[in-house]
Parts: sequence; C-alpha cells; structure tokens
Amino acid sequence: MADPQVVLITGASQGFGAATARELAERGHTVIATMRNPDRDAPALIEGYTGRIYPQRLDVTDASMISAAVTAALDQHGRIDALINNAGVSLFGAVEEITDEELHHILDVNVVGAMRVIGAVAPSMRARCSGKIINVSSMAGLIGGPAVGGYCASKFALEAITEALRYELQPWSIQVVAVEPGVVNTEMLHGNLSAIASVREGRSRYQGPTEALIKGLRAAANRRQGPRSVASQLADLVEIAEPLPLRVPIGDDAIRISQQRGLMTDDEWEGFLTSLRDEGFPGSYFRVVEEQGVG
Amino acid sequence: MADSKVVLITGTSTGIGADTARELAARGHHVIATMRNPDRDGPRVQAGFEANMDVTRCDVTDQSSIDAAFALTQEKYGRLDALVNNAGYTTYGAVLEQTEEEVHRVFDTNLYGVIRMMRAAAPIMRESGGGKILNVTSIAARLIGPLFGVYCATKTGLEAVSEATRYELARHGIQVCLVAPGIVKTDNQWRSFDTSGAFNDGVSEYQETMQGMLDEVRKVASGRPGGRLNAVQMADLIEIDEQPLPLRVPVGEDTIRAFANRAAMSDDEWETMLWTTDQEGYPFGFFKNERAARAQHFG
Amino acid sequence: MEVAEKLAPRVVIVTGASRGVGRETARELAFRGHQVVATMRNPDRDGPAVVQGFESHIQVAACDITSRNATEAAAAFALEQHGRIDALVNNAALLLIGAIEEVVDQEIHDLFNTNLTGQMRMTQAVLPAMRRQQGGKIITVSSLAGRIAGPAFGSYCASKWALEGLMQALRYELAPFGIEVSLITMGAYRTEMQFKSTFTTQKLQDGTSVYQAPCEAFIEGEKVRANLNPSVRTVACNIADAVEFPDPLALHIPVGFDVHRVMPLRERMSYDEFEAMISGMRNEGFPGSWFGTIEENPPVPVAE
Repeated sequence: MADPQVVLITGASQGFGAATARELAERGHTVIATMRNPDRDAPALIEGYTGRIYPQRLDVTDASMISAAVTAALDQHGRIDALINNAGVSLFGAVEEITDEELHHILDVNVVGAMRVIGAVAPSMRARCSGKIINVSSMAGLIGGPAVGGYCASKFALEAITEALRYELQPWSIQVVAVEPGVVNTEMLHGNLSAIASVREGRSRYQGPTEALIKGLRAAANRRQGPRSVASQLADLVEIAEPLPLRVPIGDDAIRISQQRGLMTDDEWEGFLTSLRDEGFPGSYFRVVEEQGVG
Repeated sequence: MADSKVVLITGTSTGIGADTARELAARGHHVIATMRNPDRDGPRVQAGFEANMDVTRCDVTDQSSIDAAFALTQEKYGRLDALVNNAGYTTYGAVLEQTEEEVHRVFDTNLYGVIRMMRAAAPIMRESGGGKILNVTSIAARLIGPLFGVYCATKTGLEAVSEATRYELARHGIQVCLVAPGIVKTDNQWRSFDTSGAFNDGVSEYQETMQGMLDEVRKVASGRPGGRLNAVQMADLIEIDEQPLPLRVPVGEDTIRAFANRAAMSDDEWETMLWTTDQEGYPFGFFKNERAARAQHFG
Repeated sequence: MEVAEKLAPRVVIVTGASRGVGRETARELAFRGHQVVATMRNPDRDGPAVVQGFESHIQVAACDITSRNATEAAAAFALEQHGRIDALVNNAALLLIGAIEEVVDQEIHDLFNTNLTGQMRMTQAVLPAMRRQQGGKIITVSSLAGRIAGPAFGSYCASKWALEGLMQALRYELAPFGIEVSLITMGAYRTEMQFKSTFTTQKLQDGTSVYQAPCEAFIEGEKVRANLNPSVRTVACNIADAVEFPDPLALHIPVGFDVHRVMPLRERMSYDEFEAMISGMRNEGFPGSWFGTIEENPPVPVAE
C-alpha cells in the first residue's frame, strides 16, 4: 500500500473529479475535493468517505478564493502531495462564430484556472522539494477537429503549460504530468455540454454538422465507459514512486489515437481524419457536410 | 449502460485476475472466475458477489478442467460474451540455464493454455454471433530483457497467436485484443514468480547479478500500484460497443511510455542505449555488470 | 515566344505590419505586384517606412486586433478598396517571458487576447468575404514555440499551442468552402519583437522572481543569439510564396534551419527521448541557458 497522500483535486463535484476523489479515498488517501457549489454537490460525494474526502468551495476563476482554499488545506493537512487540475468546461461550435467572451471564458477556466491553482500550491511544494501536479487535458489537446476549436485551443495551451512547467519545477523534484482521456461518458458531454451562442440559438452557419457532431459524440459516449479508468489512472499516478512520464493517454481510444498521430505526417493524419464517417467525433461532422453541403 | 455480459476469466485467485473478476461483477456482469484452487482462494474473490460470480476450477494446462469450466458456462448461461486469458506466471533465469522442464511448463501455461482456452471458447462465441477475447500479455512482450528471455518468449508467442487469431476469427464476429500491463504490484513478483533451478541452487553463472536484479525488480514492484487500472481497462474493453477494439492496449503509464520509447528507436539505438546507460535498476544493472566482459570481445 | 502569364495580383491583409515579419512580408508581397493592406496599431508613426517605395501597392490601415470593431473595419477597408480579400496573413503577436508559476491574470489575459483571440477576430472578419468568393487563404504566423514547449516562456508557448489547436480545427471547418488554413512554423529570426523589457513578467521586471537567474540567463543568451540569427526576409518570402502557391497548402509550413532540424527530431522521438535531449542542452539561449544556470546554482527549498 502506498503511503497515504494528501491530494487536492479541482472540479470534484462530478465526472472525472468525483470518480477520482472516491477512488483515492478508497485507497486510503486524503482528498481535498474542490467544487464551486459544495452545499449542493458535496453531500453526495462524501457519502461513505467522511474523514477522507474534504469538500472545499473553490472557483478556479477566483484567485482570492483559491488562495484561501489552499491556505486552509495546508493548515488542516500540513501539505499537499499532489494537485490534480481537473476543473474544465467544453465549448462546441465553429471557430468562425466563437465570440470573444466565449473564448475568454474557456481559457479562463481551462488554462488560467489551472495556472492560478498551480501558482497557489507550488510554493508549498517547492518548500518541501516534492510534489506532483497532474493536469487533466484531453485528446483534444493533441489533435484538432471541426466544431471543437475553442476547446482544442484551451487544451493545446494546457499541454504547453504542462511541458514548460515540467522543466521549470524539475529542480525542486516536483513532477508535472498531463493526462489525455479519450471519449468518456460523463456529464461534460451531456448536461454540462456547452455550445456557442449561435449553435444554442439554432442560427449557426454550421448548425447541421455541429449538431450531428454533438449527437454523435453523445451516442459514442453512451456506447463507451464511465470515468473509472480515468480515476484509477489518476490514482495510480498519485501513488507511483518512480519518475512519471510527461503525457499519459487514458482509455483504448486515446492510447490508440496518440500512437497513430505520432506515426503520421500532417497530411496522412488529415487524410485519415477527414475520411471518417462513423458516428462520433469527427465522423458525424464530416458525414453531414458531405450529405448536406455547406450554405 | 452496457448490457450484462457473460465473462470467463482465468487465473483469478489473486492480482489482476481477481481485480478484474470483482470489477466486472461490481458492474453487474456474470463472471465465471476460474482458478486452480477454488476451495482455498475462491471465497475471498467471490465475497460480496455471490449472486453474479461463479467460482470454478480451471487449470489451463489440464484440458478436462477447461472442458468442465466451459460446460458450466454453457449450461448456466448458454453463451459467452468475453474470455479473459489472464492466467500466467513469470520465469526468471538465463535462457540457457533454464531446464527443458522449466521452459515447457511456462509455455504450457502462458501460451498453450491460452490456445486451449481460445479453442474451447470460439465455438460458443461463434454460436451467439461473436465475442471478445482479451489476452493478457506484458510490457515484457516488447521490452525483451536479459534473465527474462523465456518468459518474454511466451509473451511474444502470445502476441503472435493473438494477432493471427484476430484475423482468423473476425469472420465469426470474434475480436481478439491484447492487453499489456506494466509492472503491477501483484503476486507476479513473489508467489507466481518462478526462479530457475540454477539460481535456486546458487550455481548460476549470473548468480550475483540475478540476485541484485531480482531485488531491484521486487523493489520497483512494491512501489507500483496494484492491478485496479488493468481491471478497469479490461472491464471497459468488454463493455465498449465500439468496433473494432484495438489490437493492443498498453495499460499504465510505464507500458505506454516504454512502448513509445521502444517504437521510436531503431534496434541499434535501443541496444546502444542499454549498453551505455548509467541508469540503475533492472535491466540497466545487468548491462553495467556485463559491460566490461563484453568489451573484451566487441570493443 | 510565349511569355509566361503573369500571376494575377492578390489582395492580402497583413497584420502587425509595422515591423519585423509583418513589414517584410507586406513589402515582399508588394514587390511581387500584389495589393497589400498593412495593418498596425500606429500607422502615423510606423506606416511611412512600410509603404516607402511601394506607394501604389501598400495601403496602411490602423488596426488593433484586440478590438472587434477595428478588425471588422480593416476587413471592410480592404473590400472597399479592392472588392475582395484573397489572403489574410495573421502575424501580429506579443511575447511574454517568465515562469508559469508567476504569471498574473492580466499578463496572460493580454497575451491570449492578442495571440489567440486577436487572430480569431481578424480571421472571423475576413471569412464572410472569402466564403462569398468561394476561396481564400488564412496564413497564420506561428512558431516553433507552437510545437514544442520549454522553461521561461511557457505562457507564450501556451498561446501559440492554443493557436495551433484553433487553426487546426478551423482548417477542417473551412475546407468545404475552399478556404485554406495554414500555419507558418517559424524558427528564431532577428526581430525587434524580442527582448523588450515589457515582454517579461512583472515579477521578473521587479527582480523578485524565484526563477530570476535562469530567466535572465535565458534572455541574455537569446539577445546574443538574436544577432546571429538570419533576417526575417526568408520568412517573408516563404509567406509570399504560400500566398501565391497554386496547390493546396500544407497544415504546417516550416521556415528556418532550426525548425527543419528540431521538428523531425520531435516527430521521430518519443516524449522521453525529446525531454532528455532538451534537458541535456547547454547552448547559449533557449533552452541551454536555463538548464545551465539551474545546474550551476541548484535551487534550494524555498520556505514561503
């Protein structure tokens, strides 16, 4: 059994975050599970894990709340061994129609949000010359696709942050890792799915293919697994004593796609991706474009 | 949510097999958990899942026990949706010091055993229109290391028959898929770890290196996570309706990175790295110890 | 004797054209006979030097790509003058040097607002015209920093990686309209953008960074190296070639000896190998200066 670790995880109210908090608690670790609305979401999460999961109010867009939460966690538990930057939002819609505010919001949560929490936690890790920072990226951090450009932009940026930070924190023996889950059945693709205004209002020039993509992705998610593989992989990364790799794809689809992308040139990859017509990402999009054309 | 599947797993007394049986049972599937000694190991694995887990004896080197396990499956469920060939063990020893008997025994379990199981499962799966066969290989199938040569041979052999049957059984809707765990803290490095007679008797030509490397492997393994991730990944693969499953799924950050590193290097680069690295641990310590002796012949 | 048909002049918008790659590109395109709308924040100050000698081919327009009104006005100006827009060269960008841990919200917001959202705004502004024309080219100047990442300029890398993600998605979205999207992967060139003090984080400017020494070594090293780097004319020629090129453009157009050397390694190596290679470098500038400084002065635990 690995020594009990103190882990702070953001966005723990549902999805990857909740599953990972529970998995870590199962394995005997102490989890500071942060979320925007603990009054509403914490009771369900901590049921059966009192004294192991500590819910904490935290909004990654609010710097003062982050600093207060991290201070409180350090006061109570003495240290944070691992930080899992999991909080994130999605954005569906063609690049042409994304508004400034929409792009700023997804960056503010998915990229700057993670950087804020890192900024608050890193000093205590540097002081102990130890720690792990695990950023939950996505396959969309390694490949681009139609109707998810804003989301890709945020995850590509998070990948770059991870890689640079890895070099910067190495001297203090702090390890920085990005994980890339594939398509997983969570609320991110259902109740929490967020689309740009033009799509929500049904007036997008790309309405047909974007709706098909969302529908296809949801159908694919329903055919696929829940967040347990992400939870066990993250918990393993927290526990592992050896040096961690820079990137860890999670799930058969992510492992397979990252390998394929690595072997192909841009042209080969583009040819492969645009040939897809199956239900899901990005086949559903291309199929509708092929059937209906563009306006 | 995936429909309830009927899954038969071998080698479920401990480790990844036990974790997988319990993970699948927890998700509501019907599990036939097979092991060599159900009286001793069964109750612990089955605890809490008595309603949807059958524990039964199956030694993959014993055809009659295989027949009995499949007869039970047929009789109780009339179908088999997935077979997980997990039973296997590790041998440790210099290749030429392993006896005929040692070599035969590990092939009998790790390779012939899987072929026997697939031979028994295929007709049942074909009958019901298809199925999935997950064969548990290892990081060692692609990272061939000294002192594990015979074990690696069983796993590369397993990779070959898995890939071939994947092509051959496609016509029946049966998907064969390799799952490659890395180093997992299981009995594999202790109880299910068969050290060569030469080493046990203290007469191996590599005695000291073997002892050092064995300690290293066990030290690394003790700091590794258990088999849960493998269990979850296999349960996911069984539930996923996506077609087709990948041929090979490395599981765990160590296997993913090791496969990527090996694939990115030519054979020459790889070998040069091994002979020149100053890293410690297995297998690097072996190369450090052998470097001088090699240099006398090859510069 | 037949004379090869002269290439029809193209109408091209070039952003950030006051200096560096932007100015050279605008002038190169003008030299080749194309019509250029060169946008910049301060045309009164910077415009004359850009236009000089190409008065009939370069028009200067004020445009700050952080403003949606300004980007739309620039596109409208080009249409009004020339009736169409054949290509957009997204070039305007900011630099930010400093460790990720110490970047403040405003700094990263400003960086992304230009390097990512700004490029998106300008691109969105030209798309209606390009869709009407059923063709066009969006050529975005990115960098090696959009393909690899390293210490001391992680936020800049993040902005360029984000731009990669956005433009790769856009490429799929616009292909059905016959509009091409391409990224210039530019290596190190001698430009004026580098190493103004305003391109470092406030922490570094105040001298209170935990990473002060390696960041300063990195900046000094790059200053030295910048003088040895080739001029941006090569980049300008490559961009002009891409504007003129009749066949489909590749997703990435690599420009620079360093890019030609690094990218094949990056693509061929595993992450582990590449990381080991980067960490082992001790050259002056990126990334060797950083690692060298760390090696000479290993950091000690810092109690806050």
